[in-house]
Amino acid sequence: MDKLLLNSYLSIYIFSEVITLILSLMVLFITVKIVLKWDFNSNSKEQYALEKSLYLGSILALFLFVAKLILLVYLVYALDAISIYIPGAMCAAGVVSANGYGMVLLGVKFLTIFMLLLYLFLEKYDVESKYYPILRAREVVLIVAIVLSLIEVYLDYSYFYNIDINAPVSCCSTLYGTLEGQNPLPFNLNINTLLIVFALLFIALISALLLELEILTLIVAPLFIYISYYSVVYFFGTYIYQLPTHKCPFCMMQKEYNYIGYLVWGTLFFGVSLGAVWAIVKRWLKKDYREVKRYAIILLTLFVAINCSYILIYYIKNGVLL
Amino acid sequence: MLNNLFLHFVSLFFLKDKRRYLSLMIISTVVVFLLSVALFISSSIKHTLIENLQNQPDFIVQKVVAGESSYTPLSWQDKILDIPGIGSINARVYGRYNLDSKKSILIIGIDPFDEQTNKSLKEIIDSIDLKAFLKEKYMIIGAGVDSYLKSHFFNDYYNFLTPKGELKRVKVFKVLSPKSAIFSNDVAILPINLAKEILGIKKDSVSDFAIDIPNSSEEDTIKQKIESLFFNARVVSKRSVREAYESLYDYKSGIFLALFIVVLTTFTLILYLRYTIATSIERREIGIFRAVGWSIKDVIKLKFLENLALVVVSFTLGVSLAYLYTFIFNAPIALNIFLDKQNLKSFATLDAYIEPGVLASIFIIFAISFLATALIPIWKIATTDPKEAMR
Amino acid sequence: MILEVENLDKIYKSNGDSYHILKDINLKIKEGELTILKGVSGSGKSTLLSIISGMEKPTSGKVELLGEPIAKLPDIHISHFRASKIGMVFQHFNLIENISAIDNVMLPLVPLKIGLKEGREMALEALKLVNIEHLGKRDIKYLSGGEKQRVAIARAIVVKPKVLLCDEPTANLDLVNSKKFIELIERLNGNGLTALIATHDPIFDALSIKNKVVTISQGKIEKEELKNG
Repeated sequence: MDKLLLNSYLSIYIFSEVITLILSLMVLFITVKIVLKWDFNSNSKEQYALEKSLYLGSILALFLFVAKLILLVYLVYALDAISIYIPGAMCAAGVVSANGYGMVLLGVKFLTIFMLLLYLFLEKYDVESKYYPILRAREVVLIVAIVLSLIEVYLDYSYFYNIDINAPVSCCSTLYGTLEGQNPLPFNLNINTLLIVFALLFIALISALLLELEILTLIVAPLFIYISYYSVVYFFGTYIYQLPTHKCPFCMMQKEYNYIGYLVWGTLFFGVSLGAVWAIVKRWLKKDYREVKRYAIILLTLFVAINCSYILIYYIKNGVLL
Repeated sequence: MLNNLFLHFVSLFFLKDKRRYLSLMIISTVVVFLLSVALFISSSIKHTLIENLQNQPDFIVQKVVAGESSYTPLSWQDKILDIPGIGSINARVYGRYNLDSKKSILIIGIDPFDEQTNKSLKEIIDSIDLKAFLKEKYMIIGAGVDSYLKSHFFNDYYNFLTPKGELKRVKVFKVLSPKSAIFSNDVAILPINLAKEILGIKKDSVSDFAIDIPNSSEEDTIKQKIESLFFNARVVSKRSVREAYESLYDYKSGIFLALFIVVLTTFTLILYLRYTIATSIERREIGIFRAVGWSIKDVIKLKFLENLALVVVSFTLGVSLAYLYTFIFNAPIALNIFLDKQNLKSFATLDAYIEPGVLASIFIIFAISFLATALIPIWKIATTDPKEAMR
Repeated sequence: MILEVENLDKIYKSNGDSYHILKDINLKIKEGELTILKGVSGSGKSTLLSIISGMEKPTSGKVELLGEPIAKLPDIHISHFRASKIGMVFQHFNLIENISAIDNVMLPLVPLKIGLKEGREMALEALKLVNIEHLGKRDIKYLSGGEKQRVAIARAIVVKPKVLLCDEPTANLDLVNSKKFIELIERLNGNGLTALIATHDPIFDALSIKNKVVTISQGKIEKEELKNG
């Protein structure tokens, strides 16, 4: 632990997380106060102060959103950089799985960012309509996001505190490789059926967005993320690495692969998130943010296009498929 | 210029209010500069060391006596070579020689007719006339050794004292150029037998063996086999050396970073105070914006973008100045903190190499703490009642 | 109806004391009217103007400007409303000194998301209306009091507002410039602009066009009278 702390990447990450923690606590304080005491009809000084602090809450939320996003990317980069210290690790995969907290930490980070994104759109809607119609609801969403970010800091602590730099970990080929007789894919799928499900879900998601079926969008979105994860790791990734046995969600974020992994996972996450945000706002607030929907479709298509282009490039170069 | 009125005003106020930002920009630039220099140096040295390490053998095998490394019998060579999977094995002779109580140099013995596994050594040997080199007692020395000898009136030779009490007068054959001198600064390269005599190594011993293994996945097995062959062998792998380097320079930049965070915290406190005491002109301006119809959000946006511009400008300035200082002027003073000041004056020039993550690190720690500090004062001033602000 | 104020009260509280600045104000202004709000300083006319423009909140009562309950709207809507529908002229001009006249006039266009090019054209047009388009590029600090006041008016009318609110517009002007200001107001009002002018300057008694004079004293409206009607 202490040896890792001296790594400049990690110490910068932790210092920045502490700053976001302070801001999060501030937002929490403001937001809880607003939820409890808000009374828009009142002309009192207190209400007037609350109206002002609403702006502090939203500007801090925006800042946290950007900072959390940057820090997520930075953390993955840092984990890759410190894989040298941990015996057995060749990329971030080994470091993340050094203990049980790593994967949970990454998951919570994505969830926090999604909640903040949702909040930002609810805020936009609320401010655009007069008299703050969904003020309490949106502030509750913000509280959830902030609580998640507090959990995140706790996981940061647990994760880094419990990394044992002497205990060997597995490298990605052990973690994601197919052990004999064991199928790593969910629902007993094999690669072929996985790809069929992947294609079907993609078509379903895009159609749901285009045909404005909000509930369907919300159902398909998490499924698509789930299946996409496995499809990229167990199928598309092998084309990125040009090696049928190399199965890893992290190595593709290294320089050798032009950092393409950041784009792959980024387009997937934001495509699905924006789609879900659009569906929520459309379904329950009856407001159609067409731009958001358009970006969701573009990002999702880009995600699939990047993955497919690797197969195409491989095929053109080698004349065969893996 | 973009057809955006808002950006027009952001740039207009940023340029018009230069004086307001100047002092802040100078401090910010200094803060970025300090951090950049430290991280540039450590990342460049680490890079050079690791590059050099690429030329090093995969394994080094030494004999251990009473827990300390000692000279290794030459007879091990054949036994090790019998282990399947070994690419090549090279006997090496080197050791430190104390010129006086404070200065010591690294003597490296070479067998010029043997194949050199070390790339930089190979380059040096390829570049000289071997016949001339072996004719007399000659040595090739690093720039640091040269300047020591000159300052002690040995213009082109030195008298080494062997453990047997004999004086060996060795002439300087060539001085290595000081470029990238991290390894060659304090070395003296001598023919192998002369080196053995001066270092007091027996004829049938060497310092250690350098072993190359073509298939890296066999490293662990071979290491175990060597260790079971000789009860008193120590096997050091390249990977563990690399780890040691990484953690050494991490340690150094880590200590620096810890200090830097204290500086940064002080800086943000100053920044916070500076922003909370908004000038009356600034307050009046914001009152005017609000009176003509800017919303609180518009004002926050304007002020935030002004600060972002400030961050970007001081980041760019600080990083560029640090680049000049580190790689063009070779980091005077600061380098000594990072380079182990070996006994001889360091001549090392730094390779202009920056990890992409280093730039991201500098930006993240600086921008996040700067902007996080500025946010609350910005909000405070933006939500002042316009009437009150214009007064 | 452009403006409707009903039972408006404003009480300031500070250090335990409370000051009743405005008491039960009722006021109606129709489109195209020129209204002079007369009263000595401290009578509350300035506060009334700020409340009408949404820069201050009333303690109680109703303010409707163009049908919008201005005191109840969230900031972003009041601001947008102020930027697009209301023009304001202040006693101290309230211009930003170290930027040019044209940039000052463009300020209210920012929240309306108008492009830089169109903004420049609109600002030039407004400066032309007050006859100082030749000073557009000059920084405010190099202009005289009268010129500053014209820039301030240009800024107030650049978005073609529904109503113009002026707070002591002639207090910092000499007689010549005050007369010029009045001429300008008469001309703009002649073109259909509704205007409400708070002043204690007697020069407004001599207006040549139709106007309504509302006298305010110690926070209360004392009388309303029509002139030249």
